[in-house]
Amino acid sequence: MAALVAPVACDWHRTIALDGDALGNDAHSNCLPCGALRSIQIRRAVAAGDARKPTAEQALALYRAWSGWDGTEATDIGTASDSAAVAWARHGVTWGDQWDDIPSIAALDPANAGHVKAAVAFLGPIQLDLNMPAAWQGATTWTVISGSWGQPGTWGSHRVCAGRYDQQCLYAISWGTEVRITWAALATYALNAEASISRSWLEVAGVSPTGLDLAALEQESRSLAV
Amino acid sequence: MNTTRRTLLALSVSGLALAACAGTTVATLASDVQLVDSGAGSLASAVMQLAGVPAATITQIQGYLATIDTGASAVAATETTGATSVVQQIVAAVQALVPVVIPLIPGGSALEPVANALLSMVPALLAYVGVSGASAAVPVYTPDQARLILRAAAK
Repeated sequence: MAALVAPVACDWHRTIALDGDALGNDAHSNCLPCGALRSIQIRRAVAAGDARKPTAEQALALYRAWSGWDGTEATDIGTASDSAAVAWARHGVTWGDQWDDIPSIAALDPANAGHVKAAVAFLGPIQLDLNMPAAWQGATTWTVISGSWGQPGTWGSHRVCAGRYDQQCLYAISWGTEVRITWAALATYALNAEASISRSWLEVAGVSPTGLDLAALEQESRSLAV
Repeated sequence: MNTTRRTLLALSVSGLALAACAGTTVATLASDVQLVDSGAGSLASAVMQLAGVPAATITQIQGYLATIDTGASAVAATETTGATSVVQQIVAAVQALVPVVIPLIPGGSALEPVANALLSMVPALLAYVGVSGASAAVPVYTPDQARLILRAAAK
C-alpha cells in the first residue's frame, strides 16, 4: 500500500443514495451486518452499476447467522468482529439471486490516515469498529471530545462502513446516514479497521496495489473455511 | 483478534499494518466482570427478599445469577482475552436478568441505579472482547459511574 499514493479526496458514497434506512440498527445491535451490507452495496454499485439496496430483513438475517441472535433481547448484544470477518470470507454474503460477495479481509491500522485513505481509494469502502463516546449521540461530525462523556466506550462499540474521505475527515455510514469523523477522532476512538478486498473491484478499478498478494490472501482466507 | 487471523493477515498483506487491539488488559476485564457479578448478586438478593415475588421468578433469577457467576469464574481463570463467548453469555444473562427484576423494584429504590449500572457496563464488557453492537441509545451511566455504583452495592 505504501507504494500507492492516495488522492487527496475520494467519494464512493456518491454511487448510492442514502435514504436514512438504519436496516434495523435503530432497534437492534446489528451494526456489523449493516456495515457489511452497505459496503457490498457500494462495491456492487461501482463495479456493476447495481442499484439494489440492502434491507432490514437482510441485515437481521445476517445478524442471526453471524452473532447467534435468536430474536430475543437477551441475545441482541452485537457481533464479534473477528468471527464475522471469518464468516464473511468463509460463506460470503448473498446479494441478489446471482451474486455472493466473498471478499478477502485485511486489517488496517486505523490510526494511520495514509493507510486508511489508500485502502478506501484503491480497495473501496472499509469497515471500522469505533469505541464510541456518549458525546457523539446526535452529532453529525464526530470529533475528539473531552470530559467523562467523551471517554471512548461510554456509548459502546459500533461498526460503520466508510467509503469517503477528504483532507479533514473520513466519512462513514451509520444508521443509514453519513457522518464525518475527523482524522484525530479516528485515531482516538477507532478500535480496528478492515479492508474487504474484492477481485471484481480491483478489476474494475484497474489497480494492483504493490505488496498486496491477492492470490495468497484469497488462499489464506479460504483456508479459514476448513 | 485471534491468533489464526493475526497470522493470516500478517502473512498475506505485507504492506498493511495490523490494527492495535484496544488497550484492554485481562485484569481490567476480569475486574469489571467481577463487579457485574457482585452487583448482580446484590441486586438479585435484595429483590428476592421482597414480599410477593413468585417462586418461579426467583428460580429464573437464580438461573441468570448462576450463569453470571460461572462466567465470572471462567473469565477470572483465563489467561487471555479470548473469552468472547463467555462474556457474551454473561451479558446475555445480565440483559435477561434486569428486565425481570426492574418491575419488582419499588419506585425510588436504591436498587434501580444498580440495575441501570449493570446495563451500563454491557458496552464496556463487549468492547473488551471485540463485539460491536452499541444500541442507538446511550447507556444511563458511563463505565466509571457504573463501577462506582456497583462497588457501593457490593458493600
